[in-house]
Amino acid sequence: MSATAVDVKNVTHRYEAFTALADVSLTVPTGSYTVFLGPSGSGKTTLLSVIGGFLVPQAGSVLINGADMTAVPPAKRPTTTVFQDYALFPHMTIGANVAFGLRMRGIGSKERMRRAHEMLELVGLKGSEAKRPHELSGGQRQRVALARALAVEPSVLLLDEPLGALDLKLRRQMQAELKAIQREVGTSFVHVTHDQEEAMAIGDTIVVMSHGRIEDMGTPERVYLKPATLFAAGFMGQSSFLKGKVRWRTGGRLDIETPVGRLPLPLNGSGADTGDDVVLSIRPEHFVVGAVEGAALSLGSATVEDMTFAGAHHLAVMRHETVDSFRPMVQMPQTGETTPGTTVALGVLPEDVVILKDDS
Amino acid sequence: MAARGQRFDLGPWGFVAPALLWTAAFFVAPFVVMAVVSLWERIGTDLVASWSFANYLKFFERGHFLEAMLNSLEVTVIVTVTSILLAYPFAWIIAEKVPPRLQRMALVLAILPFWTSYVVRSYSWLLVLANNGIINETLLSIGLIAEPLDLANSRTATVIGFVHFFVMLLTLTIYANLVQLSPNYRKAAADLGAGPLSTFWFVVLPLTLPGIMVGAFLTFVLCIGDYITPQVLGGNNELLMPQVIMLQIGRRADFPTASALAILLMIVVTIAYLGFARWIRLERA
Amino acid sequence: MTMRGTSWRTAASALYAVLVYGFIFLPVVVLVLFSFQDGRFPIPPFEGFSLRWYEAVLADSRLMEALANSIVVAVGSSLVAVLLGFLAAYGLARFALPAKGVQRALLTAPLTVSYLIIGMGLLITFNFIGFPKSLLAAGIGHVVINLPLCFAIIYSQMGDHQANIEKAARDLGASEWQVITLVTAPMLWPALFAAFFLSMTFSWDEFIISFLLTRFDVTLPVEIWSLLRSGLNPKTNAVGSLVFGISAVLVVVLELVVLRKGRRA
Repeated sequence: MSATAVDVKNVTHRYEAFTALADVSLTVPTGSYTVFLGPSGSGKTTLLSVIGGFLVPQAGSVLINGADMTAVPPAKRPTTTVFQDYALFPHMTIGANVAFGLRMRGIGSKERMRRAHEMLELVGLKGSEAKRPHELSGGQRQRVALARALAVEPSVLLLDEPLGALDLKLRRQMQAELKAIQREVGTSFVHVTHDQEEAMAIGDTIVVMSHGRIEDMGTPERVYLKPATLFAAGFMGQSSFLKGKVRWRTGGRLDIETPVGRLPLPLNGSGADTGDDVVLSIRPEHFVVGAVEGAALSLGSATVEDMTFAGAHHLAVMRHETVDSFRPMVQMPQTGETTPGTTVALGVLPEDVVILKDDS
Repeated sequence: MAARGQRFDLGPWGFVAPALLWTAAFFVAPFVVMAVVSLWERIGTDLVASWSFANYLKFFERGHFLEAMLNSLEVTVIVTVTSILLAYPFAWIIAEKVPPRLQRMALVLAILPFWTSYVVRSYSWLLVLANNGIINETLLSIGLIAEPLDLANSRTATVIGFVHFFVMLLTLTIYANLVQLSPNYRKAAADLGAGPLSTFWFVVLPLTLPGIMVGAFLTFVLCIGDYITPQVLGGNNELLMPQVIMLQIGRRADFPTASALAILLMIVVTIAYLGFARWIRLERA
Repeated sequence: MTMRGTSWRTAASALYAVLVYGFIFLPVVVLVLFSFQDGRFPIPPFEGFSLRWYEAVLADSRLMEALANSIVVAVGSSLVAVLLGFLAAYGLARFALPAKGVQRALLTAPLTVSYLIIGMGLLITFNFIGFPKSLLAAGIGHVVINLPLCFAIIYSQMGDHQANIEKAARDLGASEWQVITLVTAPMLWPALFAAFFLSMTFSWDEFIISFLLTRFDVTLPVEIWSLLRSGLNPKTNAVGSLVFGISAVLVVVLELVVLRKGRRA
């Protein structure tokens, strides 16, 4: 088995005037859990359909385990799909559903049933063989769809918003189970979602998509802490943005002019150069509130407009004293005196600021 | 599934072709043949391709053809309207007043006579309406009348026979429409201050109107083309279009005239269809 | 609404329902009652209970033959109609084909044309090409009238959710043929069954097309028609009652089966 499970090369697909995928390339390493994350219309489901063989792209190619599969129908690919609505066969028992793919491969009924039993045990539905889809809850149906897709031992399992129909608590629980099952079977999973928390919880790699393009791709930590684009920073978690211009770049340092003053910053992986327009992105938890001292840079002061309680902490939306366009979103302690109307001093550690190209 | 090239795929046509070919061969083609034959003439026992509208002109020249068409239209309209007026309250009672677990039974019961043979159904009405039939005998024996009423062999008998059939059909379709209606519409109307009558008039009736119209069209088509009911129950005083057409085929083997009359009848149905068209839709679930 | 108003309305409703039920059942009751008439005429007075007209019906070989013919034509034409209708519905619901609207309109067009006209067109056409009047000819006509119905029923039940299920089957390796036989048809089983049953009923009861297109071997309605010409006759009552009885039992059994299934689901 090659080290690369899926290799998508320069895929483009248009629906009439709408570009669903624009020159997309990416690789999925064998045995990894990859998540495509993006809003609806970002092209993530189209990309999954291209990998699964339900859609032949107008340009580009798809390699699976090193073999060109671009125009190969779904049945002939070493991939299977878990559909958003599960698509369980309503007239068959759970056992027959799970064994269906094996039946299509001409495997005898005894062996089929044994494997179906195994798969149902894997997903925690031991002994449900004789039931029918309508007798199961949403979460259980989801597990059956997973067992059915895994029963034929695909090298890549594709999951199209598999948890979208479940309630929040069940979704979080299933995320953990999906990850555990993926570790156990070692199959490469490709999972589509619009829920960034789900993506972070479950993925080894996150692929952030927007308007048919890949905006960012990397480990959850990397994409969260050092997003590559403005879109990625905004879509993955919350961020406050501050516009600026690079006055000069020397060695590993940038000097950036912003409406709140000049900020000397390290490169932080940015490729920005002298004269570039940039956007500084700061996560809520990276703001230093109150006493700005030591290495922290001062960002001036801001007034709390609104506070929302988020359980482990408060989230404050603020209005900057002097810069109207800068509306900091700041994480505040779980308990505290701060109320709307309070004015606080804000700062940030230089290494926590993400410097992004201003492509707006 | 979009193929990359513009390769023509026969596959899907394989599914549709048998039905399309069947319809083309046994529905469209005979219709074309009929249209052609309607322009011919029957001279002696032969059909001559004379290519004229003589058969159509006959329809307007000979009083009894035109009369048959008018009779047919009158009977059909009377039957359609009467059937809807009778069936709607009946369907409503089944949907609203009968306890839910008995509704299916009430409905099955209401359409059970549907399954008497179509030919026998008209005959049964003859038994009921005949001079020495059950109604006359009953009325005579209780002294309400001295002489038997001429109920059978009349337009009234034809209409009764038709209405009997279509009340069952329309009850079924209207009931289906009524139970599909979310109860929340009525609750909302009541909540906004509508009484039972205005709820019915402004909410229930408009929402069930498409279903009624489909049923009405079905009634129209089936009624105007029916031969048996007027033939068994209508007597000799007046003829309806299907009877006139059958006369051309049967006794005289005059296919050209029969074809022209059939096409005229179809034109009438088509006009009716256009009137009903906005209510009739075929959609997938 | 006062209690008094409610009960008044309920009483009026009940009265109306009873009257309509009475109207619907009157001819059937008269038909069945006088089929047991121990006399020559199926009209009052009722002269006593007898099964002799039923014996006469069962002894009438022409009627029995017509009955068998009717069953053959009904089952045969319904099978063809359901098969063609199903395939067409599948093709139109699942594939990108040109002029779908025209195709649908063509397939459902016979619904709006009177049986008389359909039968006449076939009669004239068969006359021209020398196709003899026969049960086969009548069966062809019955497929013409039932195909649109089967197509419409099955097509209306082919939702996009099922398309997704078919997609899943293909993804798991099923061939097109396996998708149809193992997934699509079983999923649509209720619609297929309804279409078949309805076709059967229509074919079984159809008169005018059979009347125009058959000659020596005829179907039951045509044979009953010739019996009718002999005027009021308890034997006609007996045939009618038999046909009604069989159909009614069938409907009730079906209802029970479907109901039980419905409860389980």
